[in-house]
This record gives sequence, C-alpha cells and structure tokens, in this order.
Amino acid sequence: MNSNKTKAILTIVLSAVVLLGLSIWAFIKTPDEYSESEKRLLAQRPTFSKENIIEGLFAEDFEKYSIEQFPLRESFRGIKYLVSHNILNQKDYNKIYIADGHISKIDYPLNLDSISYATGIFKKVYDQNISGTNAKTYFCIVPDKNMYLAEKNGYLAYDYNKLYSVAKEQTSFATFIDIRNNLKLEDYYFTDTHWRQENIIPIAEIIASSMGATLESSNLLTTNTSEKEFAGVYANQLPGKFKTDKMNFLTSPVIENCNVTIFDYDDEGDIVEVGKGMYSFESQSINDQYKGFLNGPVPFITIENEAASTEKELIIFRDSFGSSLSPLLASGYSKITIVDLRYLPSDYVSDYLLIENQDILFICSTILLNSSLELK
Amino acid sequence: MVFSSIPFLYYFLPITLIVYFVMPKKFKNLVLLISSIVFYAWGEPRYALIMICSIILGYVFGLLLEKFQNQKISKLLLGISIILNVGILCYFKYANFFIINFAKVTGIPIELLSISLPLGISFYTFQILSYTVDVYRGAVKAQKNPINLGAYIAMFPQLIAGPIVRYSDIESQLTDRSSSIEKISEGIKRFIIGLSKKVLIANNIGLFVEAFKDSNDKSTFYFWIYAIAFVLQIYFDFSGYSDMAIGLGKILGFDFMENFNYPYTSKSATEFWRRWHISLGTWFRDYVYIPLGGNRVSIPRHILNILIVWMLTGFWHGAEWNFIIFGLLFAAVLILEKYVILKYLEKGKVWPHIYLLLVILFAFSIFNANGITDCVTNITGLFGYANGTILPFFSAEAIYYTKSYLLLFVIAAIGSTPLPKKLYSKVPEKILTVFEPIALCALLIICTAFIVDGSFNPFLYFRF
Repeated sequence: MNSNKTKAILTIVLSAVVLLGLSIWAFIKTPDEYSESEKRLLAQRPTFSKENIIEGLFAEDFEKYSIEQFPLRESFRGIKYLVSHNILNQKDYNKIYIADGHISKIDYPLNLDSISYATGIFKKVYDQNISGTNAKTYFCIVPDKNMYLAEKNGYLAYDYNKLYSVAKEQTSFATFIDIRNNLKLEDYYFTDTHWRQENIIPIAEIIASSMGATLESSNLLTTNTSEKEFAGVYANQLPGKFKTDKMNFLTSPVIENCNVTIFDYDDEGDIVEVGKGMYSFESQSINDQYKGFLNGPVPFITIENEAASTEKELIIFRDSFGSSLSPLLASGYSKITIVDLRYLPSDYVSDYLLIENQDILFICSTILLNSSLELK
Repeated sequence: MVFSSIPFLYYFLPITLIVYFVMPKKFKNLVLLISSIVFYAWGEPRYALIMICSIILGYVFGLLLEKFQNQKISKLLLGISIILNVGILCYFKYANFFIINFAKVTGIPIELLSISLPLGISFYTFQILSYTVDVYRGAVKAQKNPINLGAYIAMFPQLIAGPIVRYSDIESQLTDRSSSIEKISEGIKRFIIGLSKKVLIANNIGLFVEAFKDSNDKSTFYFWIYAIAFVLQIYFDFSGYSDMAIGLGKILGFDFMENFNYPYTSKSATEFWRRWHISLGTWFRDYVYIPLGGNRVSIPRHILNILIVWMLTGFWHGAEWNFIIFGLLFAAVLILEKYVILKYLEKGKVWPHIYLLLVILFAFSIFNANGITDCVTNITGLFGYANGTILPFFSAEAIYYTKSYLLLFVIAAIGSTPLPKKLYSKVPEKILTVFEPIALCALLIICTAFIVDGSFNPFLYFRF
C-alpha cells in the first residue's frame, strides 16, 4: 500500500472515530442537570412538537442543549483554555485572568449609565422613605479586587476615581464613607470576588465610627474555619484545578447571641421567614461557601442584639459584600435590618420598613454599580 | 444550521453521511435532497417552502426553455423566469431597503414589511438563474429529474454560503460521480482546515472586532488594528466556509470550483477579484458584464458597464448603502487600474501589495460599517477623527487587545499567504503519512473545544 493510501485510510478512520465516537456518546449520554463550574442549571432536551419546530424554537433549544450537554464538556473547555492561553498567548479567558495568585474577572469599561441607574434607585429609596425623617444616611462603595490587581498586571481596568466621584456626586443625600485606602489585595479571596471577613474588621470599625456607632473590641472576635473547601465564584470558571480558599468567619459572644431572622420569598411570592442564624457554612444546601454569611442572597434579614448597650438601629441596603460585613456591625446596634434591593424592589421598601431615626447605610460594590440592572 | 456548530458536526453530519454511503447509487441524490432540506429547514422551516418553490420554478422553466429553444417565446420565458427569481430575492432582501429610502425621499411614511431574509437565498437564486440562462443559451440540457435538480440547488455543502456552483460544472457529477478513499480523505482534510479557519481564527478575531465595536475608548491605532482585524476575519470566515463546502462536496463525490486563491497576495484590485469569491466574480462576469457588452464597447460604455456590475456586486452583499459604496469604490479603483495604473502595478514589486492592502483595508472598513454614519466613522477614524472628536493615537484598550490578539493576527496574516502550504509541501511524505491524520484529528478536537466553550459563532456571510 502506498503512503498516500495509508494516509487517506488513517485520516478517514481517525476522523470517523472522533466524529462518530463523540456523536454516539452525545446521543446516549444522560443529560447533566447542573454545571458546577457555572453554578447554574443546564439546558435539557427540548420538547419535540409541531409548533416548536415550525417556529424554529426546537432548533434554537437543541443547539443550546447540544452544547451544554456535550460529552466531556469541561475537558473541552480545558483544551480551549490551553490553546487560547498557552498557545495563542491570549491574556484573558472569557475575561477571567490570573495575576498575583488571584483569579479575577475583567470588569470593563466603566458604565456611567449603570452608575446613574443604581444611584437613581438609592435616591428613590431615600426620597420615598428617608427624606424628612430623623434618619442619617451614609453611602459606601466597596472596590472590587481588580482595583488592586488589574492595571498593575496589564489587564484592563476602568478609572475607579471617576466611578467614585460620579457615584458620590449623585448621592449627595448621603454622607460618603471612603474605604478605598483601607483595603488591599490580600483582603480578598484568591478565587472569589468577595472580601475576607477576617480582614475587614478595620473596615467595619471605620464605617461604624463614621456613623457614630461603637463596636465591641476586636479582641473579642474569634476566627473560625469552615471544614468545607471554598472554591470561589471564579475558581471553576477557569478549566483545571486551582488553589482553593479557606473560608474563615468571625464569632463573638455578641454575634453568637444575636437573633438573626432570614426572610425570603415563598412559592406564592410572599416574603416569609425561612431561617435563623448568622452563619450556615455547614449546611448541606450551601453550594457556595460565601452564602454561609447570612444565608446568601435574600431580600430581607433582621439581626436583633438584645444585649446592646444602645437603642440605635441600622438599616443596610447592601449587595453580597454586606453579608460578611453586617455581622461585624451587630455589636454597635440594637437591631440591624438588611435589605437587598436586587430582591426587594425599591417600591416595596415602605411595606417592610418604617424609617424614623435609624442610621441608613447604602453599601455596594463597584461591580454592582457598574452593572446595576439587577437593582429594582 | 451552520457547519461550525455541534448539531451539524455531531448530529446532522454523521447521520447524513452514514445514510448517504449506505444507500445505493440511485438513491444518493434523494438522500442529498432530503438531508439538504432538513439542513435548511432546521432553523427557519417556513423558508424551506420558498426554496422548494424556487426549485420547482427552476425545474419547470428549465424544461420549458429547452422545449421552446430558439423560438421567440423562449426569450419571454427566460424573462419571466428571471423576473420571478429576482423578484423573490428582491422582495425578501431589498423590499425594506427600497421602502426606507422611498419614505426618506418622498416623506411618505410607509410601514416596513415584517420579513426576514431566508438563509442563502442570494446563493441559490444565483444558481437557479445561471441554470435557466444556460438552458436558454443551449449550454446545458434541462434536467429532467426534479430530484437531481433539487439536489443541485439545495445541496447543503454550498447552500447557504456558496461557492455559487454552476449547473454546467456539476451536471455530469449529478448522475455519475466517483468516490474514492483518497477523495474522501482529501474532503475531510479540506473540511477540517476550513473549520479551523472559521472557528479558531475568524471567530476568535471576531471577538476583537466585537470588543472594538463595544469600546468607548477608541483611538487612531485602535481603528487601524480593527480594520486589519476585520480584513483577516472576513477572509478566514468566508474562505473557511468555502473550504468546508468544497471538502464536504469531495466527501460526497463532487468537485466544486475553488472560491479563494490567496487574494491578499494580489498586486491590484483587478487581480484581487480574480482571487476573492471567485464564483461570484465569474458569475457577474458571465451573466451581467459580458451580456452588457463587456469591454468590447466604447470607453464610456465600458465604464458604465463596470459601474453597473460593481454596484450590483456590492448590493448583492446586502441591502445597505455601505454595500453599494463598497461596490462602487471597487468599480472606481478597477476603472483607474484598467485605464491608468495597472501596467505600473504589474511591474512593481512591493508597493503594489501595499497599495492593494490599503484598498481592501478601506473597502472592508466600508463593508463592515453599520450604515452610512458608521461608514464615515470607520474611515475618518483611520485618520484620527471620529464622531466630531480628535482621537488619541493610543488607548489602553487598544494596547491590551492588540497584545492579547497579536499572535493570532500574525498567524492569520501568514496563513493568508501561500507560505504555510509551501512549507508544508517540504515535509517528507513519510512523516506526513502519520502526522497529517493525527494533526487533523487534533484540529477537529480543538475546534470542538472552541465551539463547546463559546456561543460566539456568527457567520458573516450568513445573511447575504
């Protein structure tokens, strides 16, 4: 047999093995329900109906299903990462990058409309609920770790000073608390977007003192470590194994004795009590360790500190960064009410809160400000 | 359905090929026709009916034109056939363009038609036109078997993005085509190379192009890199698709014409159009330019012929003014070359290449614009001015993305020349016997990885 024929046979056989092998595998594979790396449900086999086919919906759904359920999907993602990062020398992988031991996601460009939208929501809450009361209003922006990581490593970063000045200017109804210079890269998880609770005690103190509240001594705080591994939100977005983080959380007699009530939506869409407790790291239902702080994203939480030496109350309008911060503020107040405007629309705030003379803290991350459509 | 998708690669293609090769020879065209209709109807089932109607029209008029050949009525029949086919194309592709412009000129508000463009209509309409004209001219015999004609017009490898296969080129292959292990293997190789050009290079560069379009941090440098990136993207996108079509054709036993021949190595626009989208260029030459008189007419008439052909060529690409400008720009350049500079270009060594690259850089900047305003921005941006402001020369974003895509740009630039092929031909055959099949499989797996990883998979010529 000449070499051309051998080459031709080899080409046909090898490509048929790849094509048919993966094809048969794709046909018989039981669909996965959930993608751990994306932390979301995967597309399932679409319904085969005449209407679906005529409208072209079947094709659309099947395309999505066939990609999301493709055999060895994660391994294929690994190959793509290897080729684009190691061979084509591309700097980021779907905007995810590694620098200084951290995994992060490029947040770029600066979206001024989004900032205006977010501050517009805050202003609406202020005008409808706070204006005219004796409450004092504060606003704090949490920088994401890109501020300390991206630009110095040659990755795209927007002008954080501009974001701060625009947001501050648009929230003149609130006293601005600037914590930018009190944070550093080490205060963030390696694999996650959030800050480490054990590192933000000084931040809690700055915020509390700005609001005239006094926190318990930091000596009273004990660091605990969750037994579960913490692979943050970015950990699985990059194919391959990267180091994981330790999930530490702080306790104290005050934190342990607070009466924490978590509220969430029931099946009818009503907000009802769904749980108790400041932390839930050992809960089996927690698939993301950061959700162990105050049960993750819920519309409404109350923290009652019966042992408080003050009558002061605090209402926090927050995003996920507030979940790990709020427990540290508990000792300075008799009651903290936590609202997440992504899950409790601003128009309904008055149904759940009566604002008279509390301290009001709007706190959110630069990430939310720059992509704020989730705020309602 | 596009070739660079999981449903095509791992569902449609294996099933179709198995059924095709298992079936006896006499049923192969039927398999091809049915699978092509499934392929076409996959995303837009309603428009499959339009294609089937066009096939029936082509079939009936083919028979009538042959029956009444050389009789007076044949001209009338040809006219009706052309009007019907071009009418369908105009209705779906150009009706809203004309309505918008009529409304703008007259100030009369007219509601737009709620229609979308059927896939590949420009390609299969041109194939039907060439078939009926060739039958009228007596260049080919009318196809008596509707399945054979249907298989030719709807054949999925070239249905939605060409090349525009002439009936005369594959008339005999429709009934008598040969297949061999070498030909199938050559087809697989061509298909995988085309897939790689599309998925690994064009789609990847497309991400850069999209990043530029979304950017609020544009600079002169960014406009230049964007223009270069698009020139590379469109070549690898379209030529990759043509490679896949030709490769699939070979697997099925057909030999389609080549559609690209290293166009960016040309020394003039005249040469460029002999190497770029060859099937479209030759189609316009044979069915529009030559019937208009070609170059055997007076100089003013010749110039008019060139303007007509290139305006139509531009308009064929899309119902927007920028496509017409794109065509007319090439017309102007071709006229200039024909009457003034071609003889100098042919003698030059380096500067004609630079001249041609600049021409296509500007031409594709117009081509890729989203309307006239965008068209102006794309051009003025190259000179440091866009949307009323003077641009900085560099911007952080431009530098970041250029660094990130630099290697890909270099690979693409080298890949658009014959150099890789020349180097490859120097590899000893013994090594290639084992290396080539393994490399092709590796490419297939890498392409699959890129498709699985990302949903970004637009095809630039999809709507033309």
